[in-house]
Amino acid sequence: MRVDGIDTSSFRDPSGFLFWKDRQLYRQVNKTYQEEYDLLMASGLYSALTNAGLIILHEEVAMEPLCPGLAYRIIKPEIIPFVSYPYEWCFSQLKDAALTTLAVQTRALEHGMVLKDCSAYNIQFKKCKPVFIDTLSFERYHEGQPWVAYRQFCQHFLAPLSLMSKKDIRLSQLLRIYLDGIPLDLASSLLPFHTYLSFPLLSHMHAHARSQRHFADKIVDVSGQKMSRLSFRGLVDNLESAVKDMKWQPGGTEWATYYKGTNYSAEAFQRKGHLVAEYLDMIKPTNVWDLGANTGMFSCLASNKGISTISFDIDPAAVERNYLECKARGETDILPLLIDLTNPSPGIGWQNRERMSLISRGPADTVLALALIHHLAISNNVPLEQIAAFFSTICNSLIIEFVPKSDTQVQRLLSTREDIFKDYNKLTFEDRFSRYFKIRDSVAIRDSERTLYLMEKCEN
Amino acid sequence: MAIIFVPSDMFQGYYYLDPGSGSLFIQLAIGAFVGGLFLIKNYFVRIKCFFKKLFNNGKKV
Repeated sequence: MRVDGIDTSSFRDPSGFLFWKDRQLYRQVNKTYQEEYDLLMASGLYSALTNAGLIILHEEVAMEPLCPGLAYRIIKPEIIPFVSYPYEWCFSQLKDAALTTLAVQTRALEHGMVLKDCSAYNIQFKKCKPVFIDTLSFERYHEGQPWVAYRQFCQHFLAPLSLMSKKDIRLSQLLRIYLDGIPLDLASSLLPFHTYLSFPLLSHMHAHARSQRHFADKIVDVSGQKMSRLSFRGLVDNLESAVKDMKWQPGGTEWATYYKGTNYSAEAFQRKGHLVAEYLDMIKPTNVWDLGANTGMFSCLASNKGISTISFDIDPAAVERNYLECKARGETDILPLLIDLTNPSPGIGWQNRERMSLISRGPADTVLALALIHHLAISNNVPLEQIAAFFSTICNSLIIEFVPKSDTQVQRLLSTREDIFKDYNKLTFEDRFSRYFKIRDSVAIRDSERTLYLMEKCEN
Repeated sequence: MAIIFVPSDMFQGYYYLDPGSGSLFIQLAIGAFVGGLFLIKNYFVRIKCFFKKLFNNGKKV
């Protein structure tokens, strides 16, 4: 949150902290971290990482530190336009984040440093690519030392990836409960038996969990235990192979036909695209949130105009496909994310302020809500008034499609339940939304029974 | 679950996170094994590169 003072997520590491001043983000490097920071900059590691696009850029600035007694340097990191969290990523996003972390670790060791933590929250997506954001996560490598961040890597990356890949994709949501990664005993107990036959999972997950249990509450003297540099490199290489081998494909679906279940004619679909593009040209938003984006077909209309777009969907398969397609075509203006709008990410962690809620990361300049309203109003029983109120908290303008009861998609939703939605009609929709928005334009989509609206939030 | 960890001279770093004794010990065991595999893998890659280079008339592989 861009309130002047220390960032609410930055308090664990005594090496420094992030703070906001005049809506600008800075990082204070504390004196205790002076030697490590100087080594990061002087060893060539920072240059190597920035040249490879693996770490966020920063510049040293001359300004009054927030805590002058502790301060060594103040740096100004590049801003990430939209902060996202591991429980909002699809499988391949988490996998790419893991590989980025290991690539950073490999380069660090080449320059005589190691990562002292391996939190998945140290990764953010910038232009659809994962980038390491914690400049203070490095420390000098001492010959013989094991990797202090190994446990955290397994909990933050290997456990969720193996559960998503081998058990159930929805288990990624455990990351929302366990902020320091999924406990390995839990992951081990959930993984299917055949994972014992895979060396990486047998060792890094099952044996690791057993070892943790064995040494729990024991006072252990580890003096004399050393790990050679070769073993260190072997460990990181083995983790990298394990992550690369993780695969997930939506079961029982063919991606090519994944979202053919629409009642649009090809012409109506194309017409809808033109209308959305025209509306975007009219309002020229600085950023767009596409809610219920499916595989991001309409998000592309915004990104093609150079508009930074977050493409949200509830379906892990749709988000996965969207991300992989964005990667394949080198998309830089779309960030696909997994969000259940009926239960969007809350503020969690220490004081409920460590990880921001979805709403507190807004508002978006424009929200696209296409073929969405019936899912909220009918599948989730949310009154139109509340839907309108919610949208008014997350955007300045709204491009929304009304899907009437006569539409086959709505008929499908009503086919197995009683129709208790007497107020679900176009007139009521317009009335409820007019309480929060000014309807600037509306147009019936030819060859369908749907209507597209362009709305602007009422002042106050 | 509490893990009590006694630092030694070898662990000279200044850790703000608990690395976990169980995690350290299993890491040492896995590291000893995969370190050897890593060495073999590296030699294998070098040999593969050598032959590729040989059959590609010295072009960089």
